[in-house]
Amino acid sequence: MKKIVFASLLSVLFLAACSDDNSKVESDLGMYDNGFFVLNEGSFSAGDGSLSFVSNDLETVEHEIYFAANPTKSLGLGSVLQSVFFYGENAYIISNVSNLITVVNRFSFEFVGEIVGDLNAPRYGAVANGKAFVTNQASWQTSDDDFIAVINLETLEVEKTIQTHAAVEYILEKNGKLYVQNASFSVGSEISVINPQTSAVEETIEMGAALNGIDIENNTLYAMVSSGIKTMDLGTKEISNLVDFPDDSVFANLEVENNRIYYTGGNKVFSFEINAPEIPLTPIIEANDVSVLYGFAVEGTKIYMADAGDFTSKGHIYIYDNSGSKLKEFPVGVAPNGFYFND
Amino acid sequence: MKTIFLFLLGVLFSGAMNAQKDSINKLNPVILHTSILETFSDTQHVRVLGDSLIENAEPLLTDILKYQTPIYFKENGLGMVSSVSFRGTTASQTAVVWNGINVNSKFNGQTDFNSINIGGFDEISIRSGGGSVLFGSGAIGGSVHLNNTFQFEKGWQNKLKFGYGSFNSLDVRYGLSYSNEKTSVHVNAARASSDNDYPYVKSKRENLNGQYYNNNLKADFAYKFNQNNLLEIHTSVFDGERHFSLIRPSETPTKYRDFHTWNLIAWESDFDNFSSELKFAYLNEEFNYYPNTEEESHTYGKAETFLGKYGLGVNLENGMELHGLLDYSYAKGVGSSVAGNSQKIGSAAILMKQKLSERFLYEIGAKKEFTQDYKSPFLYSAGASFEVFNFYTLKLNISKNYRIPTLNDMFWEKSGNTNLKPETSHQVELGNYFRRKNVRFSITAFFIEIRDMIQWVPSTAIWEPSNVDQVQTYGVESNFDYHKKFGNHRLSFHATYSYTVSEDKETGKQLIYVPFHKATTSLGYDFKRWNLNYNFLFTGEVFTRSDNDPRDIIEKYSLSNIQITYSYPLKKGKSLNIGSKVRNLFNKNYESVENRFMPGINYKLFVIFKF
Repeated sequence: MKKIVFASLLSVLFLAACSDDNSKVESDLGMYDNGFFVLNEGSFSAGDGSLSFVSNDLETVEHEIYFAANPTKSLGLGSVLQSVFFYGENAYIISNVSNLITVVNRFSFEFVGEIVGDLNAPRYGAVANGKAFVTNQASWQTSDDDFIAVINLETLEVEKTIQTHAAVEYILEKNGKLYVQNASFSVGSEISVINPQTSAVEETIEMGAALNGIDIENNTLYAMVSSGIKTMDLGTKEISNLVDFPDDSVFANLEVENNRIYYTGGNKVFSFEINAPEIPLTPIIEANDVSVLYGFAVEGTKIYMADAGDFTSKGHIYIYDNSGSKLKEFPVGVAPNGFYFND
Repeated sequence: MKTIFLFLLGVLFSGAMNAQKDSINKLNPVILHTSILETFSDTQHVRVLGDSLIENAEPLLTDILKYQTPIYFKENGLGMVSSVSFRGTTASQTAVVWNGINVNSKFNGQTDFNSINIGGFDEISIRSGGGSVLFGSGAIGGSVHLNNTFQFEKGWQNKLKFGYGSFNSLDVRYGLSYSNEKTSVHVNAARASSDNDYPYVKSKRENLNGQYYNNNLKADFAYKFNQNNLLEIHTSVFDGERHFSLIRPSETPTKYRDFHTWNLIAWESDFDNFSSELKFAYLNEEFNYYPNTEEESHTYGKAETFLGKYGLGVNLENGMELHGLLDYSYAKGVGSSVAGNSQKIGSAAILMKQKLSERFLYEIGAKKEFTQDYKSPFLYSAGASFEVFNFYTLKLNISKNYRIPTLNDMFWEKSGNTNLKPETSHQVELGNYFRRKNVRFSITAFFIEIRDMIQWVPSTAIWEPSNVDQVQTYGVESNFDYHKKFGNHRLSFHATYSYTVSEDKETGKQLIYVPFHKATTSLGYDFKRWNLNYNFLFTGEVFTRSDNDPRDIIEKYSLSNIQITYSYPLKKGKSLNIGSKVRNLFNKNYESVENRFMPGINYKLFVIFKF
């Protein structure tokens, strides 16, 4: 018995050593190629949001990578980091409370610049027509003042704002059009289509009450509303019901990946084939370790879950394969809320 | 329930009336109302900060307590939100008691110690340890008492303090009092304000959007009907506005306005061996939070509390004192996130103290509440004081105390929980008190076990309050006092030290923002017309993460303040003191919350004119 333990320990150490070596071989692009970032929101208003990096082989993890790459930037990335979007070589890190977007090189994480001014509680961003479109919720007491900031990525300045007169949240780019979820915190029901050339809202489409997530795959937009999951053909704008949820169910975190739908209920993950749309009775993952599911992603065949715990200490991430086996877990920063894949 | 209580109150009240008629012509020696605080604190430590300390201190309550007591404050920058931790407990586990009335917020059960202006208080008493039998909800770590006392036959007195210092900081207090044989009136107006735009030490940054002001009017009135009957009226009206400072200039500036009035009418009678006290209080609190100072839109909360209290005490032959207390309170509140709701709480308490000899006394108290809003526990306290030698007294105290669910806890939209239990604590302390001619020293070991801590924890999509954690805190608290006069010289020295472990019982981790070590010293030296005062504060490191990661801490810091005052010679009964103060003498860069830096060296000039 002892021998086996010893041998396995040895092999673990050996493997770890090997992988350490591997990780030292930087890709040409930089330290943080071939892996994913975990965005850690930070304690509320403490200005301590951070990012962790995990290599694609799940062997190495690094924390506070912004400070590691920019030791003199002691002010950090701001309070309540909301999301990240990529464009070209750069990553754009949005701080909701600091009204700030920090631009870094996505592979070296070195500081490139920052976007301040004319942002007000920014949430999510997408790039189209060479410009960034960032949703801003402004006052949280009303959605009448919500807007989309159009940012010139050369000057890092807000060029204009698009008043939506409705809540704004997720924004996705597909085939030269922008799709904005006009619903946040389960209030709102519409999708807006924006033409990035003219910055005009071309169309507003009703999806259903309590819209809480959208994703686009192939030429279809998938939307989760309280009654179920709906689809919209991006060409014809035709809406149909994919599945209906049972009454009183509370689901979130819609993800579409490789012709499968994924979503969560509490710390359970459900999934079904788009071609065989039926509400599964049993989850593919029941992540009992996860006390507060605060971030969720599916990439390829892996499922990523972030647990914010008590929000005043390190959160954890859990990585599963799509058969529901746990591959790995890591402690990360405070309140991890999202995964961003950097390949 | 309410009617029974009102009825009981009425019965006791009329009883008191009758008894009082009988005794109206008897000339008893006047003991002008010894408060419950004074009577039933023989087995715990009480520190009294008097008039001269108060008048010399900075105007916000945090500062004087930070430098004079073991109490720790977590401050979001100078003048910003200040949360108390007394003996390692949470901010809602310290009761703030104004002239005998618990004034913690009905919304969150706490007092923000930077929203109280101390100008006009005659004394501030700090009572360490449990006191819920006497002072109600929140008296777990201890209680802070803001008191106004009365003097008679002093005629007219004026007191003006005008202080001005760095960052355009203003501290103005004006007190006018008049008293004759029967009447005593005291009115005090105070204003504190600051641009609060201090530069951070060794940094190009400065404190942004930190400006604040507050105005406070206090009025106290007493009328002695005769040797036995005293009517007291107290009022305090506070109006303040604080901007909350920013970490980065790009953040949306926010501000907070708060307003409160505290009103109390009390009638005290002493007759034969009885003393009785009837009190009615009306408290009003209101806050408005502006998430963007540029906009009018804001959230708010408003609460009112009506309170009646009756206490009857009797001195028995055998050195025994007995007190009965009845209490009824009705609090209602409404806010942006709290639909109009109320709490109705009645309570009855019995207190007993007996001096068995010159050297030994004990005291016992018990209290039970009657309310349908939550399940109220039976509370008790018991203590003994034994003078082992002339220079050494041993004190033991045990008690059970509580903190009730607040309006936020119970009625917050979508997440309020009306099934919460009160937080309860069992605690024991052992105090050793030494005294010599010029020296007093005490060291008290305490242990507090707190159950059913009400914590707001994330559930599926929202945060909800629930009775989750259990915490134990233990440690020692020590006070040292020395006075000496020789010739024209007078020396006074006071020091405190506390060691506090406050741990989550499940994880064994220290609670965040509770330092293990805190020490204060204050040295005063008078020579003829000159006074020199030196204050020192040491605050040990605190964890900012519940997992106690050693990388996530607020560093320890030591601060020094120095003050020099000169008293100009004036006619008898008048005085003029001119002083200057240097705070953070060694220009230390420090913070009490991450990324919320405090000011470096700063200055203040002041005059205190009494006429």
